[in-house]
Amino acid sequence: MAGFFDRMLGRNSSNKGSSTTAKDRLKFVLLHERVKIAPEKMREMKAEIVAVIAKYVPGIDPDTVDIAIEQSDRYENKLVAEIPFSKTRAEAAAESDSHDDLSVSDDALVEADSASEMDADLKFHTDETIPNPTIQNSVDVLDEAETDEVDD
Amino acid sequence: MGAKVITITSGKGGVGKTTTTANLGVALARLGKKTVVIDADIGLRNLDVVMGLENRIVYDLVDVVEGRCRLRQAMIKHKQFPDLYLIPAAQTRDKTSVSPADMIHITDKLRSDFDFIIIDSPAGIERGFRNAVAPADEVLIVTNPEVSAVRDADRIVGLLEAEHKNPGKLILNRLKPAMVKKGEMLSADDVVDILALEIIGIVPEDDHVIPASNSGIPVTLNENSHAGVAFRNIARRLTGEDVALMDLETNSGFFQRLAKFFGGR
Ligand SMILES: Nc1ncnc2c1ncn2[C@@H]1O[C@H](COP(=O)(O)OP(=O)(O)OP(=O)(O)O)[C@@H](O)[C@H]1O
Ligand SMILES: [Mg+2]
Repeated sequence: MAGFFDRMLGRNSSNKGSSTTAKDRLKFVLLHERVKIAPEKMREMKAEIVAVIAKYVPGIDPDTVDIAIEQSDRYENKLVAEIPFSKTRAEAAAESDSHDDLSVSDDALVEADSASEMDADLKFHTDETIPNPTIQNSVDVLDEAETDEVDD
Repeated sequence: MGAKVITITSGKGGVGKTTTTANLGVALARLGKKTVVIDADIGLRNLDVVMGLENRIVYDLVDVVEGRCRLRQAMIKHKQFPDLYLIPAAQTRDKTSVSPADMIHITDKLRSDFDFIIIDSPAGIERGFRNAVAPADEVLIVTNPEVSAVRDADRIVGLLEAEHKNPGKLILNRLKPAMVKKGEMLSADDVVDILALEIIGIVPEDDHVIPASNSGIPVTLNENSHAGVAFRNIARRLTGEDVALMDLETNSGFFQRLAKFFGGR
């Protein structure tokens, strides 16, 4: 969405000049500087988290896992994890049948089946520093995964 | 309780702190506000030349701190604006000749006689920065629409937090609207979004700025200068006036912008 100044200056919001790159790079570097967690440390943490979750959840591909810091403003930080895992077609179909709240059309069901993939979002808040991540939200997490699946 | 102390700082050097201090000083004095500008860049004195007062210096800030003169003796009165004074930096000393407590002491002595005390901070985040920021009621962070300047501005925000200061307000200097339009320069929206700070002024890149400092007549006295208008607007905002942000603060003319605004993309 174009901001006020952009609109006043007639800047096209779809314009992808070097300023977009500058903004993305700045956001990334400042995010890590503000929370004092280097990108390299994030990578280490991600590897450990993936290893733990993989003990309980089959079908995780580390390459598709995304764990990142999100900041709504300077003081509100969030660790957002997107951890897709695959199921066998039979498992997914069996589960879809047992869900009455998910009234999906047959077409959609086929698509979902062939994708045979499910995302789980693990969200926990941090305040300046990151506390030991606890996965006590896992029930909410799965609910969320069912409802906001459509975005991706 | 008298004057408001405003410190102009940036982290990165050369982004326009001294230019901003000189112009806000003159613009505030023109609005009838009793104003002192203090050059806290000990060892790299510059505010005097930008304001055209370099030939009138007898005593400086360090002379005051070390008791070689009274505070009043180090205050140079501007000829054109009798409500405007400069306290120059020492040229032959370093940042450690002054302490944060000294700065608080000096500004406290000035508060009852003035409306505004504007402090020009040196670049960096060391002693000179801490001196300049110690007495501040408000901090204005000058930055340019450029990655290194914005990143350093963010460091300042963090340091102000650590010093339990109010979050600073942003002055975006040297913006080139034509480049922003092409997508080759960060826009004011981008910078505000990245730093999450209130913005108090946008100053365009302006060819009048260098001739102004060449002659020691701050650009805000030039009625044809867009940067000059932008500085005047910031001064008015500092006095509490509600001045809309975009008016005259870009290079493009008002009607041109109107046309763009109404004529679609
Ligand atoms: N809006 C502007 N348009 C064009 N030139 C500008 C503008 N603002 C500042 N400049 C120029 O940029 C240069 C640096 O400005 P200035 O000395 O005010 O920066 P500074 O932040 O005080 O630097 P330092 O960190 O060294 O103290 C000067 O040559 C000045 O004339
Ligand atoms: Mg300077």
